Amino acid sequence: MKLVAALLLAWFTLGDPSRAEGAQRPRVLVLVSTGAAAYVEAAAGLKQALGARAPEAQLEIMSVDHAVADSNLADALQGGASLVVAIGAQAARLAQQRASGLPLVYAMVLEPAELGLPCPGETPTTAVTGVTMQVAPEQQFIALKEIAPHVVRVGVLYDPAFSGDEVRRAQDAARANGLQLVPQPVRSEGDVLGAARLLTPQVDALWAVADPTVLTATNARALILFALRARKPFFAMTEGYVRSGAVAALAADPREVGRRAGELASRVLSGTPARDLRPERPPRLALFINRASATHLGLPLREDLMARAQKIYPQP
Amino acid sequence: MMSLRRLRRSLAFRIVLPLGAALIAVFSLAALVLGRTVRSEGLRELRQRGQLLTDMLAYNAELPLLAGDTTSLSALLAGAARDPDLLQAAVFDADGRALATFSPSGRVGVMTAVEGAPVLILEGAVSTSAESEAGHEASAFALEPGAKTEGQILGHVRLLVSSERTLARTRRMHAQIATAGLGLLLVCAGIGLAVVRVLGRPLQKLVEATRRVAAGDLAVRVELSSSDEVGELADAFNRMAADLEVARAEVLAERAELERRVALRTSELERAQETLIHTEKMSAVGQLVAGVAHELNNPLTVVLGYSSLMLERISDPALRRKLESLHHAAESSRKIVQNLLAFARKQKVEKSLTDVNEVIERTVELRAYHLRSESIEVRYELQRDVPRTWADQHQLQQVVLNLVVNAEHAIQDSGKGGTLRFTTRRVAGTIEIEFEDDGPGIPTEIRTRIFEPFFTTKGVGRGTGLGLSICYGIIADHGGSIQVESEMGRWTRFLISLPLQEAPVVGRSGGAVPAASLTAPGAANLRILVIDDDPGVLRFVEDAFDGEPVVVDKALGGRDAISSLSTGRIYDAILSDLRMPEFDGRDVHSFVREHRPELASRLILATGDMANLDSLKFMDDAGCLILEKPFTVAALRAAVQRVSRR
Repeated sequence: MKLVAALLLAWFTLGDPSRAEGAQRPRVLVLVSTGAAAYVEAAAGLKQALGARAPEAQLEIMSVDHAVADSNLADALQGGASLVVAIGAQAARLAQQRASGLPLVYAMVLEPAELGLPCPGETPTTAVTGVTMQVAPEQQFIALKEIAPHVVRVGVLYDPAFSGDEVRRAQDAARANGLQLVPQPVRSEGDVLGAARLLTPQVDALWAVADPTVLTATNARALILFALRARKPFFAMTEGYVRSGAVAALAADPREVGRRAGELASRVLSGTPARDLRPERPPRLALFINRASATHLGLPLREDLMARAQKIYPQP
Repeated sequence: MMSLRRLRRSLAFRIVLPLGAALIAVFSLAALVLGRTVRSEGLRELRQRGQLLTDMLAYNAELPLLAGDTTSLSALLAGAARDPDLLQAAVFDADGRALATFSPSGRVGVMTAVEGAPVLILEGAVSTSAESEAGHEASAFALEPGAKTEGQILGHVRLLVSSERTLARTRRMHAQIATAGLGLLLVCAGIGLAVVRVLGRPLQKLVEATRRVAAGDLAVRVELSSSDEVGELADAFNRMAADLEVARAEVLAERAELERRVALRTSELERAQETLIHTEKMSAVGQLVAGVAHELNNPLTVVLGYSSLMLERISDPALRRKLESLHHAAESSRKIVQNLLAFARKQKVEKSLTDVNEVIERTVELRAYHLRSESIEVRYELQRDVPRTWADQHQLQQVVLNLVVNAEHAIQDSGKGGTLRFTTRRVAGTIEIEFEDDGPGIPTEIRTRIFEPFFTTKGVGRGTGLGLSICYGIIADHGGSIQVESEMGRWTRFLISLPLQEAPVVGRSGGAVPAASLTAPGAANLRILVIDDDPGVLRFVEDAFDGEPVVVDKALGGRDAISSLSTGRIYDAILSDLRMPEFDGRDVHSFVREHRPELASRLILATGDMANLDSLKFMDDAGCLILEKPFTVAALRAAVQRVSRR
């Protein structure tokens, strides 16, 4: 992992022709979460956008691991950064903790509310803005209907403390698409599998919302396996779940998320206060399909869907 | 260097070697069993662990297999690589295609077992099942090896596990066990040597000491400084040896004492035998002497009587000298006969309470002049509290006198003077009189003969050879004994033992009638009856009273006397020989007491036969006057005069 971070840092540093021109340019500290290639994609989009809109900006990209270790983050902050861009929830949490005095633009954060960050549609109260990974339920239900037309009742597990509003909105969106959303609230992480056992027989498919109580790493895999064993399609909201067995997901395009975050960052650098910039949803969505899971579930996949999908798992 | 045979018999060999061998055997067996157990347990544990890993992988591979997520499968296998024994791991789909493989070495082989290779191949099926009421948990953790899976088989997990590490661990354990065994063996050897040193050597010392004791060396001691059981054993051994030494000394002393007693007893027996023989011999001699004396008494009575009678009546000096020679010879013969009778205990014993010491001193005093003239010193070691005893002091005086005279003669022969020593002491119920002189001694060869009558080593005229025989007779008559010891050239010792006797409760003096004293002749009209079987004696008595107012009736034997006594004639004295054929003195005495009791007190018994105790007893009981043959005219007259007055 450290090797990946080092390569990432080297690539961005070498690839930045403006870095050698002087220290008077605004410095942008980019913190990248570790663990997923999507973050690298997002970082690439960020660099591309900043390069186009704020070429004077000096990017200092640092993986979270590298930042935490050996006081690198403190050194970087002492160098006088103008802005912090955090890619991924891990990086966003670190930025909140260690660089709270600087404007923050987050990207690739699935659940901003969980971190205390402003969500799409909300007006920031601090110098924080960003681009989430959240996809509008309407769009997800549309895709769901295309992949599994037989599905009518869609179950969803959620923690009302985190996802109550979104689920309520989603119920409307589902209804609008001819679906019936069956919500199953849970109060803790330990309630998830029990709730799933109650919910699954009542529905035709499971749908996931970005709820931190429900979708812990362990629970997510268990829910996917649970759904596969129950031969119920599990619709997720990120590519990773599809790779792990979710039948499909309509998720943000990491590069586009990064690019849009770059645009917000350039506006902050150009003088727009961050709190004036409302957080946004991903500008472009990508469809991910797991053909193996679909096969196991007996779902026939249309050719056009296959062609439209950005990535089909398992990869050859 | 200890020999092999001795080594085999040693304590070290018999204890340490079998113990060591047993320890080695037990340890080897234990090591073998332990090694096999460790190996089998190690392999079993490895198999269990591998199967558990396989099952875990199979369980976790379900979702990636369902999802076709080879990345997760690879990550899953990579996670399993933390098991150091894992050689290869692979996940196959239901068609047997390898979806993910992993090898820590980077090389993935065919994953098949090779004969003899230290590998295990473990396989687990990846299956899925429909979610049911039983719930997810039940199927999710059905992970036991061999557990029956339900539902669709999605694929397989196959692991190639190396047992090399387990076997290496087993080998290391073997090596450790072997090292420990070697160490144990060394410890055992050390302990064995210590045991030999602490126990074996002291025991060897004890064994050596025991052998020496068995060989008779009881002075051997074991010197051990230890205070443990071996030390106590050594102390006990030393005490035992000391006790044995003391006991042996006691046994030897007792044996010596026993031998001394046996020798003493043997000597006593020999002496007793000699004494018996001697006594019998002396008894036989006594009988012979008594018979001879008796036969001599009558002729001597005639000779002595007539010679004394004629000396009274003949005044011719020339004739008187001849008669005196005759009388002197007859008197000497009488003394010889008396001595012979004394030896044969024919003399009358007159016992009284006698002080032995006084007898000795008085007798020696009689010879004081002679002893001084011969430069002979007399020493007394007389025990003053020796009690008086019932004895004839005159006879004892004769014994002492004979011994003194004999010693005097012996010392006189040496011409150097000498010493006599008298010792008396009371020993139990006897009085011992020890008389010792430092004369020339008595040769061994004659020592047993000195008590025989007429045996003498003196020159002619110095002894008759009857002195010691008389001593012998007197002491025997008192119930005692006399013995002689001598060392030639140094000393001679006589040991007399007299039984200590008290005075009889009832005494009698009837037999001790003193001889009649000669009275003046001329007493008127005495009639006496003389009874004897010897006509010579009858004539002598008749002649003895010739010319005196004495009528002598003669009876030749007892039967002849009966006729005289039956006449009723009064006799002033009846002189009867005691020993006569057919009708002897006893019969005469009985006849008189029965038919002429008024004459019983006038009976005079004449005899020379004092050897017969029955006769002596008779005479004592009869209460008659005794006239001992041969008698003189004076003794005859005195006796007659004495009884005639009754």
